[in-house]
This record gives sequence, C-alpha cells and structure tokens, in this order.
Amino acid sequence: MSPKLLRVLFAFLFLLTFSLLLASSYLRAEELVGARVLSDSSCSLLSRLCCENLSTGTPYLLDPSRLPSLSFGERVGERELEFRVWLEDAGGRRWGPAGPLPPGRRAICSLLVPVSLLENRPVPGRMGLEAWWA
Amino acid sequence: MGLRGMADLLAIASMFFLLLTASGLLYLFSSLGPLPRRPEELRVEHLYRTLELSEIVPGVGYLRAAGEQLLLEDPTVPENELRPSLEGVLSFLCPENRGVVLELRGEGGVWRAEVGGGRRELARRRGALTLSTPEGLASVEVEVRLLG
Repeated sequence: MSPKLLRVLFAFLFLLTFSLLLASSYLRAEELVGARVLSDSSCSLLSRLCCENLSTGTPYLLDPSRLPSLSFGERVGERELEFRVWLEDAGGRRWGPAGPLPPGRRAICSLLVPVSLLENRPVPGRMGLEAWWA
Repeated sequence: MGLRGMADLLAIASMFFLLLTASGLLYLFSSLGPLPRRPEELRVEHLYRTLELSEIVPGVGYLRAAGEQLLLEDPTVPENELRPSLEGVLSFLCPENRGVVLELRGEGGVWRAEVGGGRRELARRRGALTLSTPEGLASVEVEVRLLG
C-alpha cells in the first residue's frame, strides 16, 4: 500500500472515530440535562407537597392523614410528573408508600427530606418521594 | 493540489474541528456542574424548619430548647436531656453518608451539636431565634450546615 493512500486512510479513520465519540458524548450530555431537569422538577414538586398539598396550613408541617387524598400526578412547568410518596416518624411509624409503582426502564428521581409531622404534637419525621415523567 | 496535499489539509481541518468541538463539549459539561446543589439546599432548609417546628416537649421546639441553653439559667429542657434527644433526632434526619452541624450563637456563648461525618460543606441555612428572658427579648443566631 502506498504512503499516500495510508495517509488518506488514517485521516478517514480519525474522522470516523471522532464522529462516533462525538455522537456518544451528545447522547451522554442529553442524558445529563434530562436528569437535571427531572431533579429540579422533583424538588419543585416536593416543595409544593410540603407547602400546599400535605401541609396543615403551616409550611413544612405535614398532616399524614392527607396522604390518600393526593392525586399522584402534578403538572410542573409544561410536563406532567407522576409520583409516589411516604412518610415516617422517628418512632418507626410509617404512612405509605402511596401512589402508583414507578414504571420500569424510566428515569426516576428519589428524594428523602426531613419534615415535621403533626401527630398529637409536631414531631420530627422524613418524607420520601419518587417522581418520574408521565 | 496532489493527493498528499489533500491528506495534509484533511488532517489539519479535522484537528481544528476536534479542537472546536472539544471546547464546546467542555463548556457544556462545566455548565452542568451545579446539578446536585439544589437537593442539598432543599434538605438543609427542610432540616432547619423541622427542628424549628418539631416539639421536644409540648409547646417547645428543638431550636428554642437549644437557644434556651444559651440565654436562660433554668431552661425548659435541661442540657443533659436535650443533647441526647437532639443528637438522636439529627441522626434520624441526617441523609446517609452525610453529617449535620447545628450551631447557636448568643450572648451566652456557643451551643453546638454535630452528628455524622464529612468535611466538605454542601449547604448552609442561617436564621435567628428570638426568646423572652428575664432581662427582655434576646436573639440567638442559628446555623445548620450539611456536610458530605
């Protein structure tokens, strides 16, 4: 094989490899941006649940008896998020998980945050949320 | 221009293209940096509000009970009862593989509780607490830090 042909061949292989790497990087970047949007939207959903839907009227103080009344689907921005949620207090008492099971092969955002639960008096507890795009 | 000249030109053009695209990708990935920040800020805000709202004894929240240690000679909840209870609650509320520092500063000095490990500060929430003392109203600065 002549040296000239080898040079052209190397240049072609170089471009081909780079194009493949570029395509995979683009897919990875798309995946990262998607994860970021889902994470941000799930944070907004969690704040809405803690300040409105599950709140006793005081933000961050939640009423566990309101858990079954949730619709488990909320519009965040222009898209619909489905979720399931559970609550537990420091004594091991648990409410939920309430809501549908997450679908397989779908990106899911899981968050676990401290909350105050209204039992006989406000007690420390945790709220778990799993959210995914409908 | 011969075949050799074309090959050299192709190699130079592809390297230039590589440089431009790599710069673009680096810029894109660096702009994705703040991804994990918002959940940590949310956690520390929730932690602060949980300690503020949850009551260690009826009518007295954990933060207020801790603030009283600095300002009152005879606090509602004595320190030997408050500290183990508060550390237990912080351990329960603290996310896995994280640490939490609660620090209160007032005229009486500093009161501090810490659970878990971690050296790097992930998020911080500052606030203030106003309590009634025999001398009048007094303020305590509160700081909650999440470590990882």
